[in-house]
Amino acid sequence: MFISGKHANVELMARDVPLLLDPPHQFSDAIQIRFVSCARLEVQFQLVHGLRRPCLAVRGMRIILKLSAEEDIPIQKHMKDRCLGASLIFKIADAGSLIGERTTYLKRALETYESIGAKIRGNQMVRSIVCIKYAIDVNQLHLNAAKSPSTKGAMRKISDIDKNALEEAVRIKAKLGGEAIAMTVGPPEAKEALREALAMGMDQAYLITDPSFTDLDTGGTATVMAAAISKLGAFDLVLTGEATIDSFSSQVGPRLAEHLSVPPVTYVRRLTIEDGRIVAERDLEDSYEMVELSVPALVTVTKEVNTPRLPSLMAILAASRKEIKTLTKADLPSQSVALDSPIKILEMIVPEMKRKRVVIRDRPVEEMTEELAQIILKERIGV
Amino acid sequence: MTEHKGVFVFSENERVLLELASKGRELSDKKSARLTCGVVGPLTEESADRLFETGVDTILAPKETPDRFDSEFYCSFLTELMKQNKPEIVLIGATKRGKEIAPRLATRLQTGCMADCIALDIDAQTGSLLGTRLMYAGKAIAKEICTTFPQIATVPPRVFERKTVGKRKGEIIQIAPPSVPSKVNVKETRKKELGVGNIEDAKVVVCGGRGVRSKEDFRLLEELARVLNGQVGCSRPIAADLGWFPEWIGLSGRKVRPALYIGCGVSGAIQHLAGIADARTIMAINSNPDSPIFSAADYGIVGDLYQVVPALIQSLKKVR
Repeated sequence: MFISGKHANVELMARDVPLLLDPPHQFSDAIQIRFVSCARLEVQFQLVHGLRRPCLAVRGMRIILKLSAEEDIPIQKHMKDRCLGASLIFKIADAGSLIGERTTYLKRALETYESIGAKIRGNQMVRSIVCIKYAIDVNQLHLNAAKSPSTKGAMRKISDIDKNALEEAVRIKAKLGGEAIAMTVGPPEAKEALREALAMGMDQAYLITDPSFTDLDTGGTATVMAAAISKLGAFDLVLTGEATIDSFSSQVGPRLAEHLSVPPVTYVRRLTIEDGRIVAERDLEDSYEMVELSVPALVTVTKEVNTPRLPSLMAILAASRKEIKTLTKADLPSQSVALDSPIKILEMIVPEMKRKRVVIRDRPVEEMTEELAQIILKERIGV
Repeated sequence: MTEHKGVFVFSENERVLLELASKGRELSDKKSARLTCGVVGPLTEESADRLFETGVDTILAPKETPDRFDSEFYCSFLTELMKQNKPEIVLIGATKRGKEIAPRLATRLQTGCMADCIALDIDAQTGSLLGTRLMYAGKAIAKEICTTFPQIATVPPRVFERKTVGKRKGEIIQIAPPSVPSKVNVKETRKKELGVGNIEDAKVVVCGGRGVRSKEDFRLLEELARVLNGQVGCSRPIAADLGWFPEWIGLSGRKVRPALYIGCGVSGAIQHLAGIADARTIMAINSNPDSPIFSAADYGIVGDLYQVVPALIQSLKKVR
């Protein structure tokens, strides 16, 4: 057995091979190992469902494991897609001979991975958590000006700039290894957004949902999000967009940083991470500011930081099989979600759009500009 | 009733601070309360006078300040001031730095923050601060209140006008600075090339979008602006992606309110439209008849801006 990867080259003896297998006919489970952060390596076991072949995925490394040297099962495309970013793939060729007590194997697996962990400590892997909003699609939004406007039934999508944050996390993971987790606080329908995040290459997705979370303001949202993040263990980076398309208040990022006691770096248009150091370029009104800091930190990105990918059909299919984990209020530490939402919207009005919408076209240019010049003159504007 | 009293204003940008102080004076008069302001040091006598003449009663200044602007420092400084002074209303300039500081401060004080208010008032019945802000990229306008104290609001630059209240003096209190090691190391600050100036005050704005093929081609737009005594601006991709301009017009940039806006090669993304919604007349020149800007414009010409703009300049010179 051999392990090879960007940052580690470890050899294991075949007898160290950990296994977690049910009898052959139930070969649908596997172990996942998560690298918790640059600084800390933690091993967690988790069952992944729906794989045709048993496969173990460990983030950030590639391991090809052959238990039976004679047979090499080709890695199927969908398996690769599933393990997007997870570049450690265990393949088990002859599983029939490996039936055993699950707990024993778990134990052995843990020991083995701890030894791998020891060898790859000091790696560059980054564990990022990307906070996204299932926001109202303002382009599709039509508000009724006559009555007090309702956004019920409005089309929703991942807030545009949050998509840049997702893309950045996927790119960081591709470059340095590690893990990328998407999270949103929203209604059950927000699973759609998380599904898309998984298709973009995120490893895990968490929906934080509760009937009592429906009218959260930015402070309330940040409190709930921070409580959920505290359940996920250590992280290197929390990423989010500079603002959301629907409310554009840019508050959740900085608030989250306060709750998590990490420094926020806002309006980042360029981001690199090296040896646990973040180098970021911020786009301020009249200047660009280059900053450096160590992980963990919270970064809000601008839409210029990258161009979000369009997931392939395969990636979308693979994502549809991934699990979206749900946390409700009961799953979160109670004292941390006690804060009420103090901002109350008293009324909302729809400003009238009273534009004339006169379009001049399909005539000689000079004729058209003459007409426009006359209008400018008539309205006595500027000239 | 709350033990919180008075109005407090803060911005790291003096011009914005003076705008907030004017509004703060008006709000504190309505509440018969004092107006206090926090400044980034070191405070000069001239700045202090300007603040007093804008209606500030008390200036709280840190005795020493870090060499570079450090938000960690000001978050701690302001938190300390809030705990000591317990203001009822806090206004913070919605610059990009202010937009980081305000929510952090609100989190530390366990209160709410109304972001990017375009109007502020005191509710006659409840005495509560009423904030008005754009929602859904300007498709709705919301009136909000904050039910906890202090009631924090951020206000973008140039929303309020600076008004002086005449020569007067107030008190300056020097505050011992907090000692907080910054975790963020600023390596370099690169000034952007010449700014777009006070484009909010321009009577005519000629705006270039992605249809303008090069930075040099903006000369065409500048010529049009010259004929109309206007200023040139651009949409977000021109500034943020291509860097031809330091700032852009739109929801995330500058909001303009000219008598005439002419978009040249601007497609009209909703965030851009939110930044020009207050223009009296909107004109658009775009080769794509399906560009959303045409449905948000008063007048539009479907055509290549490289032909239309020079022709329009000639036509304007003729009619003048």
